[in-house]
Amino acid sequence: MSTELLSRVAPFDAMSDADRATLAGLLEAHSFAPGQNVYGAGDPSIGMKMLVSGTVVLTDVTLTTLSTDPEVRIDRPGTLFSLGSLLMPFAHRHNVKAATEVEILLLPRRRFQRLIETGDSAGHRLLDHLLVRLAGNVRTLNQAIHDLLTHE
Amino acid sequence: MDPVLNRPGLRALRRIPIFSDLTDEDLERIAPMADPFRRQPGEMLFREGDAPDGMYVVERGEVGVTTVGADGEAIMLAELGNGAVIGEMSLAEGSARSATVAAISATTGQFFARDRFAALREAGDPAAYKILLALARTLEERRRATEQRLRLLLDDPDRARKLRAKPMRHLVGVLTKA
Repeated sequence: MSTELLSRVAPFDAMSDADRATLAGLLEAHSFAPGQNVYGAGDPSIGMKMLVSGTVVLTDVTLTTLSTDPEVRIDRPGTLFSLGSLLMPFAHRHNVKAATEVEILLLPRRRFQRLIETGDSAGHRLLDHLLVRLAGNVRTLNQAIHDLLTHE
Repeated sequence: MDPVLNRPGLRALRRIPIFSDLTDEDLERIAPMADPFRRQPGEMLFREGDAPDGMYVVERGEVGVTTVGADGEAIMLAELGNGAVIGEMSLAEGSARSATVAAISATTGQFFARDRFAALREAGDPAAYKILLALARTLEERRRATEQRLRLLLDDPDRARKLRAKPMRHLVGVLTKA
């Protein structure tokens, strides 16, 4: 099931079958009942999570002014959460709660970093994606601050 | 004693944060990529909008990082000195330079060309990907710090208004490198 889902969602859809199979073999399946936290604000990050089925509600508990709607419902299979936790441990800033029965796949940070240490191409491709995404995010945030400080 | 780390050039490389996870063998492959550079006060390392050609490590001197505001005035983002690593994201991705960097005082250091690093990356060299992992960690830290700054500004419009009213040189440290 993991390999089939990975073949349909970015960035895994652009990887080779061998790389997808490697990553699929590292994923852990977790289930959550309605109302249960997938993770909560302040929880330590342990790895990247992918929604397989069900609906989760993301609540930004630290700031509501970035969005008029403080809650975001997510039900698209393949949605990735907490990509940055593949890189380093940190405390989550959001709550992600199951609104229905939810299935999640977890790629633990230690397994991803082991791929990099051993020179595995599956780890390289995922890291390539992370770098592009992170650089784009930082530029977008910087532009927002720049605009805020240079325009009335 | 470690014969590799006894060599002055490699010892200097070891002090660069994004090289800190490299083995001695990795450093041996990275070392030939370094070319010395020298700039006099006022001379550019690169301009905002330039194509990214590589990473600079300042060994001696001081450089200023600036961008241009909506009114055309230069905004000093940071002043960096010995040990500063500049333009390292050019090793990871191909976006144009996001700021202008020029020497404030006579500056010397090492330059790592993007195309040489790209060859290591395309070959799947483990050293290249250890460096990219370190760069990704740096980016994630910046993303989180920048997001926090934006949240503070959005939550407190008075703070943003006061910052706008200050001379632009006081914005040093408000923005982060991308």
